[in-house]
Amino acid sequence: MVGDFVHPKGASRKVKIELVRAMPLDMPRHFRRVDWPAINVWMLVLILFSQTIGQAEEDRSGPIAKRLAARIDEDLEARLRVLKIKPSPPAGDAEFLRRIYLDLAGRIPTITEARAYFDAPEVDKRERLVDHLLNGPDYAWNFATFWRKVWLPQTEDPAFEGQATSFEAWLRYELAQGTSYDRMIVDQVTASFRPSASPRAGSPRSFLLAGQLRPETLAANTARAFLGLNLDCAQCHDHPFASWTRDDFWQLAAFFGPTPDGIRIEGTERVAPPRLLGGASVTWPRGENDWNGRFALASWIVREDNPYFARNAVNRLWAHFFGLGLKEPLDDLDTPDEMGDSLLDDLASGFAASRFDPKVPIRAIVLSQAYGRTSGGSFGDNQASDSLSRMPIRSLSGEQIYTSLRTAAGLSPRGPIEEKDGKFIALFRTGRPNLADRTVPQTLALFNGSLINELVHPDESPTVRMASEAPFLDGAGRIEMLFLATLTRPLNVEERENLTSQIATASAEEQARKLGNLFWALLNSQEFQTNH
Amino acid sequence: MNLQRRELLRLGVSLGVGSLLPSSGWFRTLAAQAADHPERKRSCILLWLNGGPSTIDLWDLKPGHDNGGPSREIVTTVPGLRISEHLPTLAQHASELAIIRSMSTKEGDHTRASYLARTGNVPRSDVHYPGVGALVAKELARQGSGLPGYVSIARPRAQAESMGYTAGFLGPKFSPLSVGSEDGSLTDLEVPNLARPKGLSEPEFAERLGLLGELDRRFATTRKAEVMTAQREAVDLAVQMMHPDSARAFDLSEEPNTLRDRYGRNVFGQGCLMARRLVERGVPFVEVTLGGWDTHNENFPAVARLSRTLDAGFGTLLDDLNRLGLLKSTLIVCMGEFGRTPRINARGGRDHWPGAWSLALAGAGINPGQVVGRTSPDGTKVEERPITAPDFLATICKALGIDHTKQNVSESGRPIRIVDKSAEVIEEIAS
Repeated sequence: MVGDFVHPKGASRKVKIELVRAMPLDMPRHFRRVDWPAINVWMLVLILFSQTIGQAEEDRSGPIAKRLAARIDEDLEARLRVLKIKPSPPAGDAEFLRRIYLDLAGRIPTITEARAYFDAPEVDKRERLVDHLLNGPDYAWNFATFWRKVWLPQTEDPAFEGQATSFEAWLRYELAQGTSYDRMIVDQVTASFRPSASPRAGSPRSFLLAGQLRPETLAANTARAFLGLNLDCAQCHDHPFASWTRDDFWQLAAFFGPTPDGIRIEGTERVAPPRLLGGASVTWPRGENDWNGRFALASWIVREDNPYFARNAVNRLWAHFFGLGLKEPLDDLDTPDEMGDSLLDDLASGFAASRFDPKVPIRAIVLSQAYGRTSGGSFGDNQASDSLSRMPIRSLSGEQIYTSLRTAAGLSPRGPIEEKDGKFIALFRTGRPNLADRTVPQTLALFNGSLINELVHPDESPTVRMASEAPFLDGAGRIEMLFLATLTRPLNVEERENLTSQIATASAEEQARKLGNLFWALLNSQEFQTNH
Repeated sequence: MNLQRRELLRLGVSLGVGSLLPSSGWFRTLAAQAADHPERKRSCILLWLNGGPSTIDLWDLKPGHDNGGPSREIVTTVPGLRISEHLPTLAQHASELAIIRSMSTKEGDHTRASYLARTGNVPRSDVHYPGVGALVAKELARQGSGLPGYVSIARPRAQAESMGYTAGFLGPKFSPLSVGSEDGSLTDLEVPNLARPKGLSEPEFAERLGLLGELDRRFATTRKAEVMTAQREAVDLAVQMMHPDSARAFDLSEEPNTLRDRYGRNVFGQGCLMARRLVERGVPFVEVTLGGWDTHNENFPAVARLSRTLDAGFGTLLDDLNRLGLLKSTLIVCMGEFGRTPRINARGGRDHWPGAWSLALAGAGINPGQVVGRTSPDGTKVEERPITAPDFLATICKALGIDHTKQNVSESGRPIRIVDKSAEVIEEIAS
């Protein structure tokens, strides 16, 4: 009976609504006849329940995030004490501003945004900025891309790239709505195998399509993306290190099958019944819907006592902001580790306590002192690379580079993406964008590609045109404008002297040309091409 | 007008690449002298038959058995050695070939099998093993060739990294420079963005590089990170590759039309010609992919067609390298990820068969004119001298003069041998 299985925590107004919508079409007659009233009552209770919680949410998430930020610093400082490493000082306004924009908005700030922040007098202006960014449209764009890469890494491969657009459109909508993290997962796992006639662009169904609608592929993807468990080996044999067996894998895959009868283990005559990892029992809802088993599975995935669900989410976010996860590899959460576990557990509990508000762990991390430290300083002293005594310097994803180039040029960050823009972004695809290295083809595209050379041309780039034509700027002012637009910082003394003498003395025409070349060099510089 | 050498040097100094810049005419000197030089470092050209070539219809035919199908043999220049009738040029070169008929592996999935064949390992989540191209590029790196160590021509667009077209933990310095794609056209057979943008003069480009060098130099005084090193190295190599002497390596229009015709006017044939030009200039590892071998349906017409493309490209490459005196320093490997089922399926096709398959070698470091290993009369089993993927990679290393037991350091700091220690060199081939 449907009411028997544990309901996905917080899931679910939308799941319920979909249930209602789908039922008359999908459910066989006896199911409708027998269980309709029970479902209705159950749903009503849940809808009311989730509304109540929903109202409380606003008040609770801020304090939770602050508590977690303090917990992060307490933990990291204890580690540094053991290692006898002194933490680096806090980053200045310019350094912090550029970093937080790249991490939360997926792009560098505009000149206007930078000046506004530099001039803001408030002592808590970092917190205000974080709120501003998390409530702005760039947040949804940036994190739709981030979660898409976490949940559907297949879409970074040309074979599945078509799914990326649809999936991100759906995710952007959900993120902008403030949909809880668990509900976004449930929606993917329980999406319909059949195309829907939804008027809205985008669909969580991409998750199923990226898994080629195959139970074994979907099971492996579910484990890796939502639980941080790598069961790939267990598909063919017992996992060599962790405790997962081949039966565990196929029992999980059985939830993606059409009936509770189980699924045949590839290459054998044995049938694996649906059974949860760790062996918890589950009731398969009645009726012949293709999502019945998946609904039962999703309910278990998002349960608060599932040891992997929240930790996976938090660990992935940690890796977004610090380069490496608290636990590595990101999809091997079941290997024991003496370091990092208690902090990860605490962050995961806090995330669950916030009813899986995805902004809570984000806010906690970026408001920690660890995240706010400078990435610069002197070298050669005793530094453990993963100690986070200073902010690690990270690579940029193709999307971050593309939107930042446009922002620097003074264009809207996410203009209409044409085929050549997509190709440019695709050139930077890699498994871990913020740990990515640089290849020669990428460098050649940044040197000689059409995108960059349009952006440095005064006819295409408002920034370059303004810098070369604005009558109110002197030579140093023109140069400084380019620095602010690209590196989000003013000129230092040495730069002011060297560059002004090179550029300011030239004729107007010559000066425009030189400013274009300087803009090209700034866009290609390591200071622009990294998140530091 | 070329960028003045003095100017380049000045830039080179500002970018930290001064010592790497080629002097004028340097390449011609290298090509002319080095071919005869006994100390010339070896190179490897991998002809990758992507999709699982039906080697039972190429190198190890079974005429007279049901599993042989309609494929017919021809005699070669080696007494007793017969290969497919669709490889007539290679039959003439048989005395330069070594054929292994006893490859036996355990992965039947394209991606995993490719990864195994190229890295010697099955995929793991915690170690990103480098492919053979990157391993060879690292060991046989030439200082200052102005070209990357590993060039991959006509690489498949999808999943290439999972297939082992990757430097793995060796890092981007050894990752392949990709030229064209498996299903691309001849016009794609170039390095994108290698030329300066139209209308930008060389002095102006030099000015840009000068400013960039200055910015990066200053940034590096307060920051340090691996990604910065990687970016600097990529900038250095990109600048070198833009130099006309380097860029010419990819320009096939310098070759006579008759020669280009002989290679075959298709991506694979022209790719083989580009491979020769790169090896001539000292690139240690070049691979050319020929796809389309996944013949589950109508195997025989497809294999006949692909064989003719292979025969023209591979055969002409042997002629051409011989002519230039480069064959004795260039190892050619022709293989895919596995073979195909000896039994012909209901659709006239053959399916995946990793248990028993063949490949061919030519050139540097091998004993040519022989066959190693034997399969059963029905082609399903290896009856003599089974060879694993690591054995074969160790043999390639030996032929190239690389110690396969040497260790690299993985991303987690673990020492990992070039090829696993279980591997045994095939002494008959490389001794």
